[in-house]
Amino acid sequence: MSEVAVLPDEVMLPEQKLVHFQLGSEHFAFSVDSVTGIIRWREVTPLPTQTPHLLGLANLRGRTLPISDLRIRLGMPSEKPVEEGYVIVTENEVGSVGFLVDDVAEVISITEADVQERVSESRSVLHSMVTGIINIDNTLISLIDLDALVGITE
Amino acid sequence: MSTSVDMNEYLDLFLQETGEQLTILEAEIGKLEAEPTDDRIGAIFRAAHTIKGSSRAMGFANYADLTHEFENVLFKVRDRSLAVTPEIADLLIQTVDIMLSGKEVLAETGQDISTNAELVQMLSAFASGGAEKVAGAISAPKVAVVWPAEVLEALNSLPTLEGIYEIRVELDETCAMKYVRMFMAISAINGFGEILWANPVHEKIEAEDFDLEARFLVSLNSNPSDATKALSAIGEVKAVDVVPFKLETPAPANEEATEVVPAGADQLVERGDDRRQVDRRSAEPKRDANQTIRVDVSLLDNLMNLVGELVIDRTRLSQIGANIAAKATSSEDVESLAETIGHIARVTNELQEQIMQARMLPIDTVFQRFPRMVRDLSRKLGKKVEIVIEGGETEVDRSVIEGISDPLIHMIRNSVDHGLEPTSEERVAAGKPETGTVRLTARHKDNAIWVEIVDDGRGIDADRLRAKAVEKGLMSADAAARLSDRDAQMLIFHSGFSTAKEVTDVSGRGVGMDIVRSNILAMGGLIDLESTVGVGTRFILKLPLTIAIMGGLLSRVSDIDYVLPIGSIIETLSIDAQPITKVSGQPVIILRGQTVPIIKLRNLFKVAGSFTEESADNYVVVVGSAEQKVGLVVDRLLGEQEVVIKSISKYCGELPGLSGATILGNGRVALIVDINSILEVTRGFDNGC
Repeated sequence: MSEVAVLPDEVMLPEQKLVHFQLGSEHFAFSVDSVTGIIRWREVTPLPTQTPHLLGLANLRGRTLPISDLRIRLGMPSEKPVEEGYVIVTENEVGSVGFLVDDVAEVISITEADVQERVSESRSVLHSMVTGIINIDNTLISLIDLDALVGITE
Repeated sequence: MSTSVDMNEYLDLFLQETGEQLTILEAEIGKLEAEPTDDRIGAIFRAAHTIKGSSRAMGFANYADLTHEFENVLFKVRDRSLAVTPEIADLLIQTVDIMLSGKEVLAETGQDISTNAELVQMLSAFASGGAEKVAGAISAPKVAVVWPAEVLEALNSLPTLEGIYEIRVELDETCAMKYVRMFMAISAINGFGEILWANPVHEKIEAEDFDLEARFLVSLNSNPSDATKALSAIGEVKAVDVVPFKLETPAPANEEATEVVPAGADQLVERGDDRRQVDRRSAEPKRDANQTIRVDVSLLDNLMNLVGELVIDRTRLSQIGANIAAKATSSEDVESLAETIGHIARVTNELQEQIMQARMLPIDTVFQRFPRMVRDLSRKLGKKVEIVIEGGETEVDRSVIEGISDPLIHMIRNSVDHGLEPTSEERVAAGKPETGTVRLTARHKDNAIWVEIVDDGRGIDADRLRAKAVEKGLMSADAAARLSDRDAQMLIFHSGFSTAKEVTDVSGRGVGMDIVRSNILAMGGLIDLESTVGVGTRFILKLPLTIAIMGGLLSRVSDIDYVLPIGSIIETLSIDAQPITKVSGQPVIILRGQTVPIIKLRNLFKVAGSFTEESADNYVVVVGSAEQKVGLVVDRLLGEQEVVIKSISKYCGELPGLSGATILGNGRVALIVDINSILEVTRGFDNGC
């Protein structure tokens, strides 16, 4: 593709900002729109619930924040102790939720042109929430649908 | 009525004005010793007088007292009976410093400063001693009453001064209660016309901060001699003058020579007002419309939330303070830290109380619609019904008012429709008056609001409810027969349970009482009923004072903290003293003959993998009501605490047995136990023995 051909497309497509993070060795990202902050792991009070990924309630500046272990949620192996993780704090109509991840890399900007169709060959929880793949400097980042993540609570 | 709301409204104005006057004081007091000119003394005196007046009006008594003594010294200086020695100058400067820092305290806390007895005493010694006389003292300037410029200007703009009188009332020196007498005089004057202005202003009269006389500018609408007669008839009134008001009389030609009595808070409010309005304003005892303001409800909610945060931090601060005190070696800082924390705690408590107060509404806000509703209902149903309302003035938090409105409508409809006998004949046959009565009462009791709805109708027939429950397939005939009468009566709160033989359009189709109940429970209240067939039914609602903050017993199981609402706790027991037995598989304790089912919180709130050892079970917290109790087993009791209720994000889904969460002083999240839903689970176990 020549530069002349690319430019008009980029002008057309709105830029999208994503939070890029890691679970184990895999890279993920979701929209920054609902993200209100990123904090270090903090102590939680476990809730009487049968939902294993729901670790409990943390105190976030005087409010209670439920923390969901995204590794458990997406069926990924957990490689680090929770204490070393980060919590991405999100806010949406369901309320606030913090997602525990291994590492937060950065906020990245993409356009829709950067998102590739995901190759669907699995019916796992993980794949039902991945809406696309982004390739940035040869790192493949799975784009997660935050609404689906928040909406479905078994 | 000077409620907190009014004062909050005026605090900013007060601070602004006091700030201005303090600036004058600060500027002039330093030069007083070197150049004690009349101008300077007068300026200082007036500034102090204004501050005294308005701080008294704001209820800052200590601040006002300090200023009062300061003023007294100045008075002596002004009439030359006291010379400005270096000693006096120092004292006055020191006092101004205290007033300046005191103002910061007032600004920060909205509370009065603490009393400064030593300083007050020193000032008062000088004021009364009048130590040294200044040679060649000038005679004291004549003190004359002068109306504020605003008033004069407003009167000036009137087309005519006809009917405007200046009334002077002088009380006898022996008068014991000056305020009461002057108040009687004001009332009497109000009968003859409208008071446009009073000197001194009403606050001062109220505070008895005036000599023996007061002057009123009055727009008389009757004969002046009648007014004179009426006023003279009041006991302990020594002299009364009623003279037509003339503008050219005592004008403030020479400010230094006259004492302009400041109007305190009234004047503050007036500032910036349309001058034309001044003559409409009266100094009547009743402080009127401008003493209240409309505030957006969300502002009050936000304030409440902020105070909630403060309450948490206060507790946290005390704990941190205690930790530091335990470790620290130097005592001075630790002591002042403890002092400061103590003060913050007190101020926070006060603030919380005041803001809760500001959110209070009389329960009449809900009640007042019921007479109309009952009248309509009685007409529609062809029943004679009287509604009696008591305790409508009981003040309740806004959140509670909102929460109980719908439930009460349902319950009153229910009482009129189903509670009372369908016909007057039936009532007369039962030996009751033709007209049925529904009594609605509200009162404060045990730190809660009790609302009762009592009818003198048929009462709830337990057998009919048992039959209905079986018919609807809710339980077997056996189970129904085992229910106590009271439990059978409680079935009316079961969903889909309408016992009205015919469904009327007045009270629904069995969707009333269960919704009522869940609404009441959701707001942390309890609902109960007492009913006797043929006599009537009493519904009892026990509502929290506020939904946002509650008292709780902090208990620990494993390493999780739970808050048990204090209102539901009956007693706490050591488990050793109360052996647990089993009745048909259910662990129970026998408490003074009553079987109380036992629930271990560690089992109820099982979290995968934790809570296995049972050796730590130490205490039983008995919760519920006199009729229905349940014992909750916990490891440790950590003490009573006030907690701010935080909702749990909906993301967590249903959490049976929990009503919310809170954040403790140590920053940890504790879970608030929903006693009602636990009682629900154990219902039916409590009717043995």
